[in-house]
Amino acid sequence: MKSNEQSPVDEYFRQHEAEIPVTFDDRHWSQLAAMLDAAETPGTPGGMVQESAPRKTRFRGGKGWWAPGIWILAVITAFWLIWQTAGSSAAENGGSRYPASEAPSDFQSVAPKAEKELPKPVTGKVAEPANGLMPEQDVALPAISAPGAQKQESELTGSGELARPAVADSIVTRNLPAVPGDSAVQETKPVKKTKKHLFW
Amino acid sequence: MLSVPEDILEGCRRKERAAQEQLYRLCYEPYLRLCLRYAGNRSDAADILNKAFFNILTRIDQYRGDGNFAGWMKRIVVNAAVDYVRSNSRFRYHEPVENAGEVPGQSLPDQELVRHDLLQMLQQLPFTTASVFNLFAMEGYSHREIGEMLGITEGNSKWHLHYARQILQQQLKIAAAL
Repeated sequence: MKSNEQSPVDEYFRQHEAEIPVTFDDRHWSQLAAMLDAAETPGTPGGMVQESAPRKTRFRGGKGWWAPGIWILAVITAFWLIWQTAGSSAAENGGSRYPASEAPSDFQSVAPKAEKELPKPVTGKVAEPANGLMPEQDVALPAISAPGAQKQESELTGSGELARPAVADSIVTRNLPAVPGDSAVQETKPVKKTKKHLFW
Repeated sequence: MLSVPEDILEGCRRKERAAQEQLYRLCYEPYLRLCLRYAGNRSDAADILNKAFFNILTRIDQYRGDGNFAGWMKRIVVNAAVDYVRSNSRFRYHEPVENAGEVPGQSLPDQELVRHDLLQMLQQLPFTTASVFNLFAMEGYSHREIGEMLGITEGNSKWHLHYARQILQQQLKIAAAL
């Protein structure tokens, strides 16, 4: 315990430490007696020394898990609602994965799904609009049109536009102007899409 | 060395308040002096002493009688003082001096100093420095033990001891010259 290092300063203080004047103070004993009384009396907070203070943040049995459980349930419910909303909006867009505001632009190549119904080729007559509402509608042409179809199309539309040549192994979308005499098409107005909220 | 009569010890084991007071009065002076060396003032020293005696009197059953009872009590008082030092210490970083040598040329004054000045000299030392000096020079702990008690390195403890000796020697010279 004691090191070999010694110094006369250490020795001097050791020798004269006992001569430091100290007088007994009754108040100090009174304080200690009060501490001992408090510790010995049951039901009181006790003395100053606590063997082990209980942890305040400890989970008590199963009761402590209700708060995290509610949070986990809320997160799961939120994910489920988002998933449901995304599924319904996709169904409203006709199965397209794009919302109406993000529809593919003209001449954008889109790979159709296998189970999706292919658009009808324009043979002698302008195809009816799918929903009968849009004045301008993208009509997807088949990959390979029948010969002479371009000419017939330009005649029927009256715009004098020549249809663009079909590209093999791809589908080209383009705008077709509405037929001037088609009042059903002219009178229709685009339907405003109402934004659907997540939770109400 | 302090000696505790057997009847007082037995009375304290039976939680008799009179025996406890007798033990407190018997040990008050030496242990309050010890506490004064660590504390900055008399009030703090009394707090340390009372905490230590609370532990002594409430855990006296843990003393099995295989050693010196005064030594057992002193260890508890020193531990309480170290707790005080740790909770009040303002540890500052010091470059540890390895192999801190002894202070050379020591010629201590022969004349009697006022004993109260000794306490003042100790209390004017930096907090940790005074604690290291007390633990090493007065209580007899090694640097390794002091490092573990105060949470400092062994080299740092040596530096504090060297620094304390330097300052105390200068103060003793000044006091002798007066």
